[in-house]
Amino acid sequence: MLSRTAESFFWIGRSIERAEYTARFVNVHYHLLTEIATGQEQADIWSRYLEDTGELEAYQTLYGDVLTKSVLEFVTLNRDNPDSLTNLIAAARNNARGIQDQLSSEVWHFLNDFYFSLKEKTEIDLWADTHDLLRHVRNTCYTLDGVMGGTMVRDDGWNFYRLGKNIERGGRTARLIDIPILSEPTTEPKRISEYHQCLAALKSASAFEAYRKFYSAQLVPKKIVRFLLFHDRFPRSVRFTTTQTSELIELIAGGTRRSETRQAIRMAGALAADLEFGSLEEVYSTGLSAFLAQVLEQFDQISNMVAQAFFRTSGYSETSLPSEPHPKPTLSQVQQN
Amino acid sequence: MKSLFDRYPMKSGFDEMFESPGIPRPHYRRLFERLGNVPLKDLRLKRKQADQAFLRQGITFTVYGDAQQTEKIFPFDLLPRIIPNTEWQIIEAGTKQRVRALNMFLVDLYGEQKILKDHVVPRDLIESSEHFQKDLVGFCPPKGVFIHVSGIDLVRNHEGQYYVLEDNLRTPSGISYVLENRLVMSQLFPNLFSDMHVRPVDQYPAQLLENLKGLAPLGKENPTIVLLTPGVFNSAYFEHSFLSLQMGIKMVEGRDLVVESDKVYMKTTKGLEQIDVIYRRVDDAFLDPEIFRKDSVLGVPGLVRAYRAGNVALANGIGNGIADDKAVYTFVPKMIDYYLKEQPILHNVPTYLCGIPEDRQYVLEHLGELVVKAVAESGGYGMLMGPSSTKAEQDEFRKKILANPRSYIAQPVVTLSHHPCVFDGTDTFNIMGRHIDLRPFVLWGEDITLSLGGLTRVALKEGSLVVNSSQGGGSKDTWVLYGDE
Repeated sequence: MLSRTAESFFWIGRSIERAEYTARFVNVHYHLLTEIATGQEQADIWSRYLEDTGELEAYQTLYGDVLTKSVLEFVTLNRDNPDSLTNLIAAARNNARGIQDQLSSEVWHFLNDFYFSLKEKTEIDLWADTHDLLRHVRNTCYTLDGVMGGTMVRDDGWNFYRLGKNIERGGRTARLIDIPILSEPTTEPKRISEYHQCLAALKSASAFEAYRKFYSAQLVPKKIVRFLLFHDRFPRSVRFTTTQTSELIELIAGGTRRSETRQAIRMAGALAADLEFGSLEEVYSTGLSAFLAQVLEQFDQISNMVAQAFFRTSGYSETSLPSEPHPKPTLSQVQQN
Repeated sequence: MKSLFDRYPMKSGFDEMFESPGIPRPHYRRLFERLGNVPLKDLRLKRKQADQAFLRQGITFTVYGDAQQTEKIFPFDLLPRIIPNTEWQIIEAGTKQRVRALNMFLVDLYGEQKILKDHVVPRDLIESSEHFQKDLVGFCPPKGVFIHVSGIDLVRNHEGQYYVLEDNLRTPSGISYVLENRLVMSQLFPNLFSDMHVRPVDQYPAQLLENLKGLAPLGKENPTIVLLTPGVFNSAYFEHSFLSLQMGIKMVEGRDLVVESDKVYMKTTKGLEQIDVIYRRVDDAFLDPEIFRKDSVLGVPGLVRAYRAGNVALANGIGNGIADDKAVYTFVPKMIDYYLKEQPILHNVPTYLCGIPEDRQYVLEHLGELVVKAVAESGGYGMLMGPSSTKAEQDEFRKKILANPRSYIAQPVVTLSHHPCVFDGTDTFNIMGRHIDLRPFVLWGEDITLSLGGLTRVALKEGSLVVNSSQGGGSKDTWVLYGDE
């Protein structure tokens, strides 16, 4: 597969997963918190979210103070925020446009429809029914995944798409857990707002119902962390995504064993093993935040190594590389913690 | 009985569909009967569905110079254009003859240059053209074929006589619309095609692929064939991806390729993979920064070296631009006589070369009656439509012609034939005549073959004679019949 095609598949996966997570997170928090939390608590939650996703500075330049209404505009329809829903879907669609010959026409038509449906949206639509707009994005992302799964050949394109998706997903789940209410193993959510933060963390990963199946409805921070970090069958747990990431890289590498490829396999395998054999005791003795920072750092390194191994094919000198005729995916890089 | 076409205002000139008001030509009779009963509001709905289908599929082009990079659909008109078999045979024989002569001209120009030595075509006309690739003189491409794919633009005058307006021998586009228009048409009107005896258009990609395979360096059983596109911002990008998909070949950009030891490779996730044949949709000027434009990021450094070494085949060949130059066009009938010893089957529109003093004087004295075209421009840019031009525009062209006579030609205005089209006004929805042309696509492999039909473009603006998509043109499904009715 062409390196450029592989990279486009990878970024389609990442952009769509990022849009899906953003839509879900914002929807959950907007509805839970605007009703219950105080203005200050809302601002804290949005600030932490924007900081986590690396968008805080851009937000402050455009809007100044962190206010729920402005944040919503910023993360959904804002044209200047590369990670707004509109721009994420546009980025996925642009990548798809460049590899149309490699996509099933169903995928291309669906994604194109999605792009146009979102491009038409204005702030009037956002405020007329915020929930509807966010649900539309989230559900369309789910459906797109289904169209991909139902129509794409299981080749490297499909693998790179899933690799992008899993790396993004793992990172986003890890960031969800990194909140004060979950950072102490002994805390019990007492205040209603604390209870809601726990609930929001689970729901943002679409994990509340799955969690209940294993731990009843009682929200215990330790159990939430265990579930979102270590669960072996929940598709959004960090562990699950690291296993997938490792398997996918092995699959893509196939018989080739260049040094960059070996390095990528080794790094992904190490992260998967860390999560497979990790324990809550270890997490809390390291400190939840520090542990997650390590995980994110590792995801980041894997992502860079994947780029080196597969997207920057060697065999030509860097100097002969023509400059890019059109912009690369606009997604900002995963933030280093 | 009331018919959809009752209120169609027939204009002077040649109407493709009607002999006289209410009387369709024989090859349109079935369509007239079938569509005549369709209520206008149904047509309006069909039209909307067609637009949505094109947009969803990304069958769009980008308007150059538009800062927003707006993607527009190429408007599709619901009423098909029909060509009876007898007429088609003339078109087929005429375009094949023309392409054969033009290819011989290229072989000659980049070889012995007999036609110049015999003073049939003036040497300075050739050597002053930027499209003549001097560096390639002495190189003959595999099997002596330069023109693997061409699009010949035909128009009909007020008597219905066919004329060649332009030969497109470089990277002609439009075939994807031919195929997509048929597909959309058959989805919108599933019952329309039965008993119509319309020849199918969809063998084109397979034929092109077969021809491309035939170009592979000898001994290659399963050659690697790719389509080289300038990228998503090219106005024909949809077509590039469409053809790649249809042929099942990879679409690459210049940045995906690299030349090592005069061989072309693509960069893949598993390393470098050698390429044997490139269907290139990048113009000569951008193809290889080593010998053409140094600032090109769309091409591949060293590609021409690999081509000359015979390690990669290109379709089309390099240097074709000299043969579809608007000034060289004038000499095509002479080429047909010179190389083939035949009479031209399809005629040229009379053309004045501003580089020739007598012609120039005539043009300058008759600017208000002529169409003036810059020889290097295409796509309907850089034109003066004499009859509808202002004094200021004429003065501007007068200056341009005097400053650079070789760069301009002029032709009398051909009153193009018109065809009924469906229009959706603010409060009316009706059928009116608009000017059309026809671009059949000619493929050269073991044999020379034509797309069955071609692209019919429509000048959708009232009275306009310019059919280019960038100038507000649209297109129609084009039917070639098995018979004449």
